[in-house]
Amino acid sequence: MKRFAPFALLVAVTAWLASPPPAAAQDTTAAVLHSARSYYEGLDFERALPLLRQVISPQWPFDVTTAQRVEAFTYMGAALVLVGQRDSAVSYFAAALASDPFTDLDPLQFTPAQTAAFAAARPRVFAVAARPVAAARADVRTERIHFTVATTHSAALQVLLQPLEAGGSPPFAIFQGESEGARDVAWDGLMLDGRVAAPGRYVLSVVGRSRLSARTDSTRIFFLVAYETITLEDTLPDLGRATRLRERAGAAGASRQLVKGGIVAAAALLVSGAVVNRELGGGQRGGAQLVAGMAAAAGVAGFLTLNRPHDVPANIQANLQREAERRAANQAIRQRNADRLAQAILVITPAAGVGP
Amino acid sequence: MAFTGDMAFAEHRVDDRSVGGGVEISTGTLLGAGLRVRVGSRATLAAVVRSGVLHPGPAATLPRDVAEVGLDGSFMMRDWFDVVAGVRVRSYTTMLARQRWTAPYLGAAARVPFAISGLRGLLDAAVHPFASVTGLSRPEVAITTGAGIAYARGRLDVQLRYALERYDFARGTADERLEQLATLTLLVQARALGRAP
Repeated sequence: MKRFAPFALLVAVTAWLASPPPAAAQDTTAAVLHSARSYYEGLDFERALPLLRQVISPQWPFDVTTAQRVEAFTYMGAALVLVGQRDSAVSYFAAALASDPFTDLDPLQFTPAQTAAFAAARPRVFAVAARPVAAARADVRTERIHFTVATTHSAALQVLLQPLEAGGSPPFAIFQGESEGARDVAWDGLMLDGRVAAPGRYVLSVVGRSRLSARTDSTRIFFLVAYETITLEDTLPDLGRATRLRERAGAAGASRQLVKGGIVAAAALLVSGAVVNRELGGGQRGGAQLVAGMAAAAGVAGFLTLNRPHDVPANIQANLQREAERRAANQAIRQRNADRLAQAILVITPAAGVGP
Repeated sequence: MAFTGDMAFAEHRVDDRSVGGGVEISTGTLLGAGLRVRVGSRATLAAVVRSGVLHPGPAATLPRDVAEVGLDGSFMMRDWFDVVAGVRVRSYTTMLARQRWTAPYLGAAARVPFAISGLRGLLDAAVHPFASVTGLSRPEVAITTGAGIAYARGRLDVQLRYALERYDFARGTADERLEQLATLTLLVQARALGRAP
């Protein structure tokens, strides 16, 4: 038994090396589609059709992208036209359109019978679609932001735009009218009020109503708007309480009134107390005290008069002037900011949805 | 030009050591009138007459009639500060004798304005370097100081002023005589023509 062990190991390693690597699911689907397309191009529809049926079958175990499914439906329809099963072909073309309204047949690759069958499928299904927004930058003064939308057949189409930020403006139409097939819708980057779109998240809603069946369909895509490196000036804050000059105040020098009253009162008392001849005494101190009291009262009255709050016209005028200057400065800043915003380069990037 | 009228409550004290009678105290009311005239933009001249009786108090025996004539001048150095000068001639008359005082003076007066319009304080001080009194040598100390409060409204100006005149004669000698006149004067000034002096 030991004699065969190296040989068995060699066989195992060789078998492992020779075995195909485990393919990813999409690779498998893509490989099958590639084979089917090869058979189709070789007019070997007997082999192409089963492979295509496998891909669109619910039992197909591997992941299938929408594009792969649409490709499978399309080649199914094209092959069935060529084998004379036109009605079935129209059904598969309709399925392709339902999956992706942008689906179309290139006349250079497909026969007139196939394109005719595809055209016959269009009225059977109604759907609208919008291509995801491609990352782009646009100078709104000279450039437009482009969206591509499609309907499977003639429809009344409305393309609406709405900012999703709180307090944003209501939705507004950037296209409204008849449309059939793919259409480019251009947006000038401006809002309803003529201002450049503010940075934030936006939703593009496409709503269509079939002209043939009265059916409606809608879809929406999200994208972000940002400004390319723009620096805005801050407006000056309002004059705060701390920076405003006092408009009501007591006049300066109120305390000086007390000093004046004190000086006169002290002088009266000094005369009767110090200048008086002590050997004689007297000196009508009562009279001096009366004058001193009146002088003190005059000082207090002057203090109260000046200390009483009253309007300070100079400060009121100064505050008004400063407010006017500030308003003018802020107006100038807002104008400069508006000019910069008007020259802003919008940066558009696709977004995933409503969430952050 | 303005007319003035005043009423002074006066207290006169004198101690003549040569007599040895102690401090004589007399009190009374003096009434006065005057005329004040502005000269130029800064100077003021005033003439006053004043008269009354000082009634005897403790240690005094005779009432004294007081009569006074004064010529006062002032020159405004600043809005609040004047230089003052003038002369006062005063007589004290009793039944027994008459004494005449001639007291030129030089001093300063200040006005202290308050915030209430028309209200001001008054301060003044003056010396009487050449005062002469009949029968006495020149006083060694002769000063007058005062303080008051005044209120002007319209043509009227009312002043209440306390003043003290002190005269010391022959101090430290046997003839020493000390005199003092304290007055509390209510003065009313009425402007008749032109600006208030």
